[in-house]
Amino acid sequence: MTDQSKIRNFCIVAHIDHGKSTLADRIIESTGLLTSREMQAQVLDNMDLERERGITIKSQAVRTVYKAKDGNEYIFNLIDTPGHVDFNYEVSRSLAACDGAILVVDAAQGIEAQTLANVYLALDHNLDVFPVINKIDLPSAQPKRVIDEIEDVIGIEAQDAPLISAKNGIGIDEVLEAIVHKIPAPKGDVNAPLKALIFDSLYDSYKGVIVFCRMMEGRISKGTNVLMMATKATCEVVEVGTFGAGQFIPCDELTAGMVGYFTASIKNVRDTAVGDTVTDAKNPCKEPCPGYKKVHSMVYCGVYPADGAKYPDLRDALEKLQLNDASLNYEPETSIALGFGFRCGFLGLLHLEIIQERLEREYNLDLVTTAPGVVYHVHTTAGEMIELTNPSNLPDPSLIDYMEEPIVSSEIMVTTEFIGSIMELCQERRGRYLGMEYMEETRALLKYELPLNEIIYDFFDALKSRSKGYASFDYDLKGYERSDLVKLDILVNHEEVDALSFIVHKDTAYERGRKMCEKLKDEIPRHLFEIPIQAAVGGKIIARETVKAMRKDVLAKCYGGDITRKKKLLEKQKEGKKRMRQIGNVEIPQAAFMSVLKLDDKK
Amino acid sequence: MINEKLGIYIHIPFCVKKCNYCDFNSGVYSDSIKSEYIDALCKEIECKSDYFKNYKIDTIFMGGGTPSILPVDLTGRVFDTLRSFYNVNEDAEITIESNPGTLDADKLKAYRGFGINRISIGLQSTDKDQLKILGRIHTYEDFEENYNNAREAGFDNINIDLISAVPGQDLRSFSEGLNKVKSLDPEHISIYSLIIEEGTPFYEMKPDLPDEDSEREMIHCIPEILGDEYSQYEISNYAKKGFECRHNIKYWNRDAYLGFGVSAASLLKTNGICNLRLKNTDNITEYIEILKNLKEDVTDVLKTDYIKSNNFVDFKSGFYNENFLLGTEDIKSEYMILGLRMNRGISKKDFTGTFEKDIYEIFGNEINKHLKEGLLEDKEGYIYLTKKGRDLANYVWKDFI
Repeated sequence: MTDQSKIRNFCIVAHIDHGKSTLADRIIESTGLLTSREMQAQVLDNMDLERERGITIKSQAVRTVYKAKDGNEYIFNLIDTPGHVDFNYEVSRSLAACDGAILVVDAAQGIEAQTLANVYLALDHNLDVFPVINKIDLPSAQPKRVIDEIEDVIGIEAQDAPLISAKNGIGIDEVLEAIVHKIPAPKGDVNAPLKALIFDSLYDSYKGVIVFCRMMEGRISKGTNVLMMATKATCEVVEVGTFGAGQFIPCDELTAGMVGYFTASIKNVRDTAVGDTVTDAKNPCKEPCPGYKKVHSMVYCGVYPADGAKYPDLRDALEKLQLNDASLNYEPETSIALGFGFRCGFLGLLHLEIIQERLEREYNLDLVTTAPGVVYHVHTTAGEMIELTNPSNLPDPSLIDYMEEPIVSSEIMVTTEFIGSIMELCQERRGRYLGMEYMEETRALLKYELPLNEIIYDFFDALKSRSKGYASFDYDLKGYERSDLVKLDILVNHEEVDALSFIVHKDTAYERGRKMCEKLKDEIPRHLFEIPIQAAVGGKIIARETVKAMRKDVLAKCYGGDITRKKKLLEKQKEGKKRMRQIGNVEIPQAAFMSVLKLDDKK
Repeated sequence: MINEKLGIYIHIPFCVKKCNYCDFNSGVYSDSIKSEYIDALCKEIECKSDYFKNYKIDTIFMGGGTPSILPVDLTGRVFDTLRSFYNVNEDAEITIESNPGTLDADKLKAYRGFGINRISIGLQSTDKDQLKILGRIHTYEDFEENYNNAREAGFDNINIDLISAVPGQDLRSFSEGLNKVKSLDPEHISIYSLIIEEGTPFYEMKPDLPDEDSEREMIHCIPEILGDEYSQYEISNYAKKGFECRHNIKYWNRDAYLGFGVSAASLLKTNGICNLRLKNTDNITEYIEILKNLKEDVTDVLKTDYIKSNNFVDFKSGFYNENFLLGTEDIKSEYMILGLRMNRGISKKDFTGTFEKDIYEIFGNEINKHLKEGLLEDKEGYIYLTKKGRDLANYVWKDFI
């Protein structure tokens, strides 16, 4: 059994690019993987294990051993957290497994929007947070200024914060000692019934479902019959272990305070919900761990296999990804244009892009995705409220009393010279100005309420380009507000293409419709006939473009008698045709459905 | 017994300078390479001859590159070799391709002496600026002089090559050029729309091309300018009656032809049907090496190794880039694609004669689709592309692949 006073469970929080991963690498490098006692007892076993098929784990959690200046060996469980605002939920679930957090702040940049967001999240989880000032060797570093900023803005003690350069290995020892002294040791009761929090899981075709857990109380070992308190699933534990660097290291048991994993005879991947509490089926604990901050998907879009026959593969892939990423949700839907697919919910656009990329890369799927949208509340004249995730399901306007859209409260940190252009951007996106605070002379924190559907497209890009990269942004769902919304339909050759419909504010409908038509005009190849592309609201056409009829498609050249070459050119053309979706008698390239994701604004 | 007919293509990959649009196998080579190449070429012509004893050669086409770049003695050697090893018909159509700036009166006279009776001159454009853009080495005046030289030498079958949709060209400059060419009264005019091919200087330069609509306007004005005297017989070819290029028609008819030289393609008959496609290596060094190393008694080597069971077997690995027998499906598909290039189209009777099935039985869906779209027409026993169909031929051909 491991002495809890010698365990430190922590994470590192930071704004993107402030050096979180580099510091994590340094910590892992400067410590060992095994205690000296384990070294003797297990070194052989481990060598065998290393020969086994190595599983590259999402560098989500790693366990290292640090020999401190007091002569004791401490076990460090470092749990990684994503930095992007889309992943507040993931941050939240990682934080719940920790007892403290290291806050990394860039000595030159100071506090940024995500610094604040992540620190507040950590404090919400009652974590002890200590700051570290990174990149002190940069010429532009101003550690003193940053220390004051941390104390003023966040209100945590920072005068003795380690001044480090993770990149060049400066001050790492100080960080390691601070972990020992400033992060509290876990205090779970080893003799209480088993209580462990699932903070992640993944599917491995070799071991099956691997559950990542933080032991709160009690113990777990091979053969324990466990109960998942939320899903009510029971199973028998097959293996328990801890995390090496990029590997799973089996051990005899996990006890209160430890971070590790178990595998079990879990049949359905859905049985292990991240955030659920694991307990002993025969001797359950009274109360589950407090649940995570429950998140809702903010952005929805349709995901379809390019090849209709791959629908079951897509379903399996989504099921496996969801296990690893509980913030993803999906349900089957059908589109006239795209066939069978899924309406998927994401935390944000970046999350959507990541999932799409993982589906394509890890599961080898070719996908067609539709324009992303948010969840609207549709209040019908019958007094019902419908949560609308797919624009095609919008009831007839005559049945709608009013609609509401999600609003976020956002904080944008920006250097003063760009305040004007960022405010202009927020106005364009229907933002409501709440106020501005000066952090210091040259930096301000702008507060805006913005409709979520105005920021899911290209807001980040616009923000970056209008501030030369100096603005940082964070947002939180505030709630729903009544809004004048309409469904924008796209008609290709007079036929409505359901997969291209989306919901917009009435005032921006014309602009969006026009851009959409322009974009599609470039995407749809010429046909034998002229193809009108129209944007319509409630049956009224508001924008139109025309794909002119194809006038020329002929290989004029005579390649001597080299017919093979001619045939290859024609075959290539024919191949391109296969990657089209037939809508009526028009062939629309799959890319068209996706290009619509980014209706570039004037930068 | 001599009964089969055969066309011969000879590739001369040499140029004074590579043009900006050209993606044919051609380039600038030293005189010593040229003479080594002709040695190899003559050896190839000789060593394959045993297998064509029963063929009558009714067309010969020497293309390039710029065949007219060769010194006359080398050109003469090629034709001498051909005549000593093959049965060349007396009335065979014998064409040489040429470019202005490489021709003169003596050379043209010599060509007549070799029995060459058709000359194709690559003019491409009559406009000084356009010639420059295309990367040509000559002026219109150079061309006109060569054209007159050819007439004086006795050529009564002359083709002029033109390119349409050249960067900077508009309908007016195109029709002016075509009128100028017509006034010279050539027997044959070929007009190719410029295509920017990968690997050419144009591909990198990305010149501004006339748009699709003006390009078609240029093509559509051709019949009006040329008038009744000329008629279009293929997508890119126009001729006075009786002066259609017999050699090129073999390609569209899928008749047998044998190619000599680097990257030359052949279509040959095995078991009574044209189904063997060969294409020589496109590497000139390799081509020369392989033939140089063939033993002196080539015919003996060939008897055992060259042809096996009616198929040409690679006599040394690397000589052929392509060497395969086409299946019936491929033959049918080629028959359609190539046949439809000609204005005359495909004779339904010939199709049935060749494949023992009605054309509609095999391609009914495809033909009906394009009949409905107004791209094909079925009249008086022939199926052919309409005017609109010729603009969109790829779209039609695609369905027969």
